[in-house]
Amino acid sequence: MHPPLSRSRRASAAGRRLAIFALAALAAMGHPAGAEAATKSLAAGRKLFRQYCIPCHGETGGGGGMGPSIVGEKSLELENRDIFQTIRRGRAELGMPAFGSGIAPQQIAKLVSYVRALQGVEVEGAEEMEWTPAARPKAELERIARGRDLFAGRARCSECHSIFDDGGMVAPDLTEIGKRMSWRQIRNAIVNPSDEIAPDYRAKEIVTKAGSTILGWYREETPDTIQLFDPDEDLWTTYFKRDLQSIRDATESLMPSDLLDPLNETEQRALMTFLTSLD
Amino acid sequence: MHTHSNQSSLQLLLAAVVVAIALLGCGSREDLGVTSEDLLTAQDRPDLWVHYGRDYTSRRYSPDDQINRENVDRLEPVWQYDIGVDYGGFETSAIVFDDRIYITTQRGNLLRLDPATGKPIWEWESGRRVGQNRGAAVLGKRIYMGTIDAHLVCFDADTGLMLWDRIVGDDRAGYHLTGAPLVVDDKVIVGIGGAEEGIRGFIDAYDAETGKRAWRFWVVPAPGEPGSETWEGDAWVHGGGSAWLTGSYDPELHLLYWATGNPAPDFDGEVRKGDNLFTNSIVALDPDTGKLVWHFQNTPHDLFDWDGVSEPILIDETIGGRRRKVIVQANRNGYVYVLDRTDGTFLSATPYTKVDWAVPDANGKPVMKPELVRAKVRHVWPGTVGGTNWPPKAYSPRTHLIYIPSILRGATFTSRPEIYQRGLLFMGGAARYDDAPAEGSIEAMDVRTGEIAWSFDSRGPNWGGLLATAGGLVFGGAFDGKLRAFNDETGEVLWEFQTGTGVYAPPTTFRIGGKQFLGLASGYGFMGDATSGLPKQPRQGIYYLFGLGDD
Repeated sequence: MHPPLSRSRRASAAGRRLAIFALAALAAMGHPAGAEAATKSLAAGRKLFRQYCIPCHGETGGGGGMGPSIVGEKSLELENRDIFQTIRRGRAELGMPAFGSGIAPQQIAKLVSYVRALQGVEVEGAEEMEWTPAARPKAELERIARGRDLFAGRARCSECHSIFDDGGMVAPDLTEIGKRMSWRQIRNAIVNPSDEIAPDYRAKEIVTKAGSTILGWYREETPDTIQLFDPDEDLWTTYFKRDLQSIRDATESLMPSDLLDPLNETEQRALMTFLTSLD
Repeated sequence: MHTHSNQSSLQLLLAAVVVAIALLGCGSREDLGVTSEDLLTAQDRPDLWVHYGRDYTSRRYSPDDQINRENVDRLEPVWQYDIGVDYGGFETSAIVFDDRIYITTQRGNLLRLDPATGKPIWEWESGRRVGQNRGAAVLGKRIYMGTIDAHLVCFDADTGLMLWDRIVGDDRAGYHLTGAPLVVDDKVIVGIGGAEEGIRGFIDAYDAETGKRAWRFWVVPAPGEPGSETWEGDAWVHGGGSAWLTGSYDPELHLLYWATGNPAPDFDGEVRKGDNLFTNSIVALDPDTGKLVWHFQNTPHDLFDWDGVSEPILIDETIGGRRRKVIVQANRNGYVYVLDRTDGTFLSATPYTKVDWAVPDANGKPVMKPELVRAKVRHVWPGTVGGTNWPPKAYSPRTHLIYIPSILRGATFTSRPEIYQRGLLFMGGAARYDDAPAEGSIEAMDVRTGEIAWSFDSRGPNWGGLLATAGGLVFGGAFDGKLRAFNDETGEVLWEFQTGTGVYAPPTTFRIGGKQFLGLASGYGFMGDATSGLPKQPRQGIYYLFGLGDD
């Protein structure tokens, strides 16, 4: 669990500038390590802001051609964590994309610190934002990174599942899987995928009068037709019941149950650490 | 004269046709829908409009002369249907056969309209965001359509029931389908869009019956594949190369022709040194396998977002004293290209608009002016939407002229390094239009000589597609909202009708109940920055049917 956050401090426009100047001054005076780290993450954040945020939100976050201001009074009500999650997950309904697949969490934390500086809210060093993965032990961070590679690589998860809008579109989105399920539940869902199947991902098996058997996810069923999805072809097909011999609920999941087999113990642990970190 | 009684008599006729069809019931002809034979012979059939470009040649030339220079002044609207979407461009070309009319909308909906009243018999609601959609394709009793989120969907032509729905690309990474599919034999062929978002482009063929993929041609080759030597490093991964319009097909040569779009990032060539094959090219593919047979690159190493996607028009002309099977294409880069379509041999490149960026060499490869190559900021003609954009051209074998809707406005291009971010614009710079408002025209060029026979000032950029007919006419809508009929030889305006908003679609023509009609989508849409400084147009989305009224 993440500790509760203190409410961000409101600040006037003048105050905002003061906060930034104060940081610079602290750094110039060779102040203790904390402030130096804060200045460093602020600089990194500025660089990221240039690259990812300016195109829509403008040079100083005051709003651009496509995006609204992110430094107005309302933004001061936000927690650091809100900003962090907004950048990671985007706001699809407003047309803001999710950056979680392209920018590492540690980097997003730095971006948050810079956005905060623009808003004139006292900036914490990214490292001090203890709710971010940046505050996790180094060994754990390395496992998460390794797990992320496996997710998109040998474990084949991303062929069907997405995180932050990146990956396959045919199985449940796993962006917040670490929030919804425990380590144990996730592991069981991988090893015994048929134990519990997400409601939208139940399968049916049909046998046509011509004799072929088709197993797939289904969506619409009418008195005359049934639609099944073939994940290998990324294809929904409507079958007419008059052409079918039988339709039965499949008790098994379409997810393979041997996905962990090619991974050794360490790799399995890395994948699990990554999945549980998705919160 | 546009009198009420005239419209009523036309509507009565159409109503009678519909009743007759109903009484005939399931005649054998009615049951088959559009056969492969129909698709192959559509060129000679005045009743049909069964391909995006009318027939496999993409000429948009109808052999119908019921409506001609003598009676075109009697042309008038029979009905109009409001699609209920008044933003985004209404770009559809209808599909018409057996007195049936199918249209698509910018919302991705598919409608079967009652030819007697214009009311939908059914409408499939896509549930998608408003984007672009240029039309459908047909085989048998099945209609095929792409969606803005890159699905290819197959429908029962009678009921509108979705028969299959194939995910072609990942919308979240910028893959879109906006062009109409092309049916060749038993395959449905589509070209993907999204180079502005750094996709890797492709042309796909799907089994018309099952929706399973038959082949994929990657517009941007992977390392080791032919053409990959024209890319550097990992640039190919997000190299662009859309193919977002519809191709053409020569059944005799059994070759599929498709034109491809710009590389990505659009304006920053530093990160993709080389010619960037097969972007901005015309490719000839084997329709059975998707294998490349030949290619011609119109704009190597494009720096100006000049998607050369305009349809390759297949014509047979005597050029240089020899009868040849050729392709004529009006490219966004300012030139009309003529190629031998048997092997891709370059025959000519002639400017149809103001072009100041390059001079083509003997092989048709444009050689950019040295001062532009060195420049950091480049001002060139045409501007970034090109000398012409997607709106279809027409070619008439009567006149040997290709009719081109053109846009005239220069632009200044700047490039800057940009890091690819999934699903976001990946332009690598910006284009700024000149302050003077855009002009535009219809240019009628003799394909044999490259001479401009006539040109019509559209008083604004021309985003309306064109249609030519055996009636000695050329039809075209324009930015000013008017649909006009021109004398195909002289460009004289013989008839015009104010549709109410800028026209952003090509007219089509076909027969209902044995009579010639004209269909047109009218709905002002995105025209890039090319329209800045021009009067704002009212918003609407209306589909019109025009027919001949009484004397």
